[in-house]
Amino acid sequence: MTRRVAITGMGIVTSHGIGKAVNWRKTLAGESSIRPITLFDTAAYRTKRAGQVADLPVAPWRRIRASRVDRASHLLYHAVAEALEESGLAAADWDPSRSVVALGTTLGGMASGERYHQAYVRKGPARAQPSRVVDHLAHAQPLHVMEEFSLRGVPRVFSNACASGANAVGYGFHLVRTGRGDLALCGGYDPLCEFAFAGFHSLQALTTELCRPFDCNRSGLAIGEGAGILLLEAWDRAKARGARILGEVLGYGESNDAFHMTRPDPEGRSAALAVRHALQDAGVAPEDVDYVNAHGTGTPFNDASETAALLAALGPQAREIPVSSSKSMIGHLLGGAGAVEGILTVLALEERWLPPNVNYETPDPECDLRIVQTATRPERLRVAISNSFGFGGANAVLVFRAVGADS
Amino acid sequence: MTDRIVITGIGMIGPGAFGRAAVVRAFPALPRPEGTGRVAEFALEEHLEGGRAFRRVSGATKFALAAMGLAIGDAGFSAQTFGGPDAGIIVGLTHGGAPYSVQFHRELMLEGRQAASPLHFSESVPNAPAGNAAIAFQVRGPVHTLIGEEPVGTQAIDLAAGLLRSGLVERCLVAGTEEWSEVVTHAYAQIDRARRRRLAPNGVPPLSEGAAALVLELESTLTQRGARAQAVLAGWGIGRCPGDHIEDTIVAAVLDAFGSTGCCAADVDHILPPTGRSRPAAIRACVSAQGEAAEPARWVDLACAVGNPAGASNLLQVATSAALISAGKVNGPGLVLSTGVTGTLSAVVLCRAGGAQP
Repeated sequence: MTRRVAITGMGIVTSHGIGKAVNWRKTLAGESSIRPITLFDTAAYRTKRAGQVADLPVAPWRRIRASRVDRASHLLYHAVAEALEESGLAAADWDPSRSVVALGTTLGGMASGERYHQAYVRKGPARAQPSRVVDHLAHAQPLHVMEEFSLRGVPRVFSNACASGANAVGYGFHLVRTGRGDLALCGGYDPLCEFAFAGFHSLQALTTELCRPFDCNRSGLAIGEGAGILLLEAWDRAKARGARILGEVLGYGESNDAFHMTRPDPEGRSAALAVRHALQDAGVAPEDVDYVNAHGTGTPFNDASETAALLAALGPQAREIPVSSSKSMIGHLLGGAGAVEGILTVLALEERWLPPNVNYETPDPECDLRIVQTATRPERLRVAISNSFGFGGANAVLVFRAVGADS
Repeated sequence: MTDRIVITGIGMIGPGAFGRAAVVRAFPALPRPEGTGRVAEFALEEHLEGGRAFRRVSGATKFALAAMGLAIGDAGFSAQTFGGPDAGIIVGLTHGGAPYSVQFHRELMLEGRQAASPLHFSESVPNAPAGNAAIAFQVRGPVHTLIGEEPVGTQAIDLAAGLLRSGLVERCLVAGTEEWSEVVTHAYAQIDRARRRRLAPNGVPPLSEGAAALVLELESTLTQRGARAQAVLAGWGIGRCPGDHIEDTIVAAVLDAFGSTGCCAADVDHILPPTGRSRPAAIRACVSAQGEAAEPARWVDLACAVGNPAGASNLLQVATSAALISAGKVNGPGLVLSTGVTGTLSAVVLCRAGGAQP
């Protein structure tokens, strides 16, 4: 059985703010929300800025004590609330035998783990608060929001580093498309915490300047935080209940580099395979692709490898397809990146605007793609792909189509 | 008819003397625990050709690679022949390589950011075991890490089965791995102490470590490569009961697992109860699901032998049942139950190859 998969709700939290409206407005304006970090002391680090969500409001939990849960759960709450509200679905519509929650994250509630360990070392094991260890686990945050929004069932929690969010969306997509389920609440999240920041710092992956993906002078990534949620639904079911369809998930492809734990294959061979699989899965040809929302981290290795992958998968015409990376404005959301960037891609298709890749000034011969420097209204924008690549060689590619583009 | 998912390779790395050969040899007893719940020191090269290249990885990755190496060899593949774009890996874990996370954070806290090792960070990410395994076996198809409680192994089986049945992969390694951590163990001990002020002690086995790996394939593809199925993953059920009535949810998962197997809970030959929490409820639920069985099932309680290796426990149970079925020590069907602290649970039914057909 193969069914069309509609997107009927989306929720997004990034350093641009909470909600689709503010995120889309600032994205089109090319506004940078990379700002000084206030969540922890950065005095010892060369990099002092990140895509931190400023003044994150405490989520209005009804069933869980707000002070008990990790920042990750708060981020997730806001995104889930927005997606569910937009979809018009109620808890009663959620049949656990036909619905799934699939989420991706890299480190879950690691800030809680840090706090437990800090107390363990500095105050002594007996004075550390053990619930923080439970809260730091990556399946704790999905369980919190499921309890809060009365979504029964067992969450699937993907932790494939920076491809996690896209993998979770891909899982939900296949579940609905093959008829094994009718609804999938899927996406990804990751909060900013010192552990991850220090980790990328130790790998010398963080830029001390502006994050400028695909630019010749790119010098690294900016970390971000946030969450993105997509509510996927069987197309006919969504139509039957009169839901507003925001876009369509058309295909999904995945692969692994099997090359290095932290570095991508310079030739992008497996990443190209993921792009090809995704297009094949979607039933579209390379010439049908109107926009690429790139993984585009801004590291020298990554952007060159992604360019090689796009050229290998799409052929020479890849140089004509508009490409941009949202990470230049909101940073790299790790496990949240795939879902958040997927949402921005759907918004681009919905609004028919290409989002910009800010800070791009000097073309790099190794990244000879058509980089979108300012928001542009293209002649044609029907099908777009969103790339996500991560540690451990994980590659995931989602294909989206605008509503009405099938006619 | 649905193409059945079969186990063609088994690899087990458990605490003390716990391993496939020891389990089969000692049955119906189980290898005796050696007190610590820790895996005995070993060189990765013993189980994985070229294993020296991975000498600096975390314990969780090392256990996973060793178990996978054993499973791949057992299935008739080698590290050179298993991989490719049509092979996949699914790893399930709870805390994974927590000691490296602790070490990285400790370096950061006590010695400053200059002392924080990038290796300890990259090995801290949960998908380090799967990522390293993809490199070791050159697996270029789907490679996933799932996080969950003890029943996460069944989620990994479910995901792998989906990939096999949809034709996205032809063979899939499914593994669970966990490394013991002093900090995590201390936290759970604190939680248990706090809970026992309100609840009667429920005999929670101590946290331990280990890994298990299975090579899964579709039964229909075996003949062309001349391979043998060691056991059939006949059915499985996954559920969650956040409230107090976990027994009913376990019964539902058991019935779900038997749903299309052609046999029923009363036919069960052996049962592996959970190694985590809710063990008494799971045992009661099992007895209830079995009803008036003609023959009482044999209980194979791994908790006595391996403690609770959290995210690795479920697949160690499945691997044990499969190894015993493959060796002819038990007949099947076998029923594997798993429960987690927040009420997640699963049931898996294993049969002999050539047994009940859905």
